[in-house]
Amino acid sequence: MPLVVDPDGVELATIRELVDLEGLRVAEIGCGDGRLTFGCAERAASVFAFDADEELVRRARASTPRALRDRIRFEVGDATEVDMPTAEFDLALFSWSL
Amino acid sequence: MNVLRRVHQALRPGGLLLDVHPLGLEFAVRAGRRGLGFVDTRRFAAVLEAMDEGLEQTVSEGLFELLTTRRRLVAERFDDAAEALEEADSWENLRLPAAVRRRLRETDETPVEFVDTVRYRLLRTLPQTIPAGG
Repeated sequence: MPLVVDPDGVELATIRELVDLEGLRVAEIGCGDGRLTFGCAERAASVFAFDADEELVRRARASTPRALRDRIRFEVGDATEVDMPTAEFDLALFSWSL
Repeated sequence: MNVLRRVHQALRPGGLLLDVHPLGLEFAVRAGRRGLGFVDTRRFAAVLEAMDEGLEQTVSEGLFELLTTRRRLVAERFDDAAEALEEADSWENLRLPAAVRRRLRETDETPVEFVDTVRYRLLRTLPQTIPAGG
C-alpha cells in the first residue's frame, strides 16, 4: 500500500471544481478506504459508499471522523449487487472503479 | 454496462455521474527529484478501452450525456523504494520494465512516487426513452 495516495489533494480539489457537492445525495462506487468519501461528505447531505473489498470498507468505517458519521453509510459489495434505491441520488461517483 | 444502467436508475432525473479513473499515460516513476522511467501500461490500455466502450455505449443509447472532461496528475507516494516495489508486485495489468525496476532497487532517494494521469469525466443522466411498442 502506498504511504499516501494523492498527497497533494488533487483529486478532491478536482471533484469539487467539477461538482458543487453542497447538499447532494451521493453514491460512491468503489470507495476503498474512504479516501474521497470523507472529503465529499464534508459538503454533501449524505454519502452512500460501497466497495467489494471488505477489509477496505472496515478500514473506512474505522477511520470515519465522528462529525461525518451521521452522513455516511458504508456497505460491502459491488455495483451489480448493492441495493440502490431508484431515483435516490444526485451524484454517482466512480472512484477508480468503473 | 449493466452497472451503468443500474446507476442510471439510481440517479434522480438530471443527476450526475462522475467517473474518476487513471489512464496509465506516461505513468512515471520518481525517486526524490529524479525520474527513473515509466511503467509499462500496454495491458492496462486494453482494459481501459473496454471500459470506455461501455460508457460510450450508454451515451450513444441516450442514457447519459458528457458534460466535461479534466485530466490531472496524481501521485502515489511511498516511504522508500522497497515499498514501491512491493506495490508494483501486486499490479495485475501494469508492469515495471526491468531497467526501471533496477534503478528503483538501486536508489536510496526518497520519497518514491508513481505519478499517473487521472481523467475526470462528468456526465448527466438523460430520461430513458421507451421504444414504441415496448
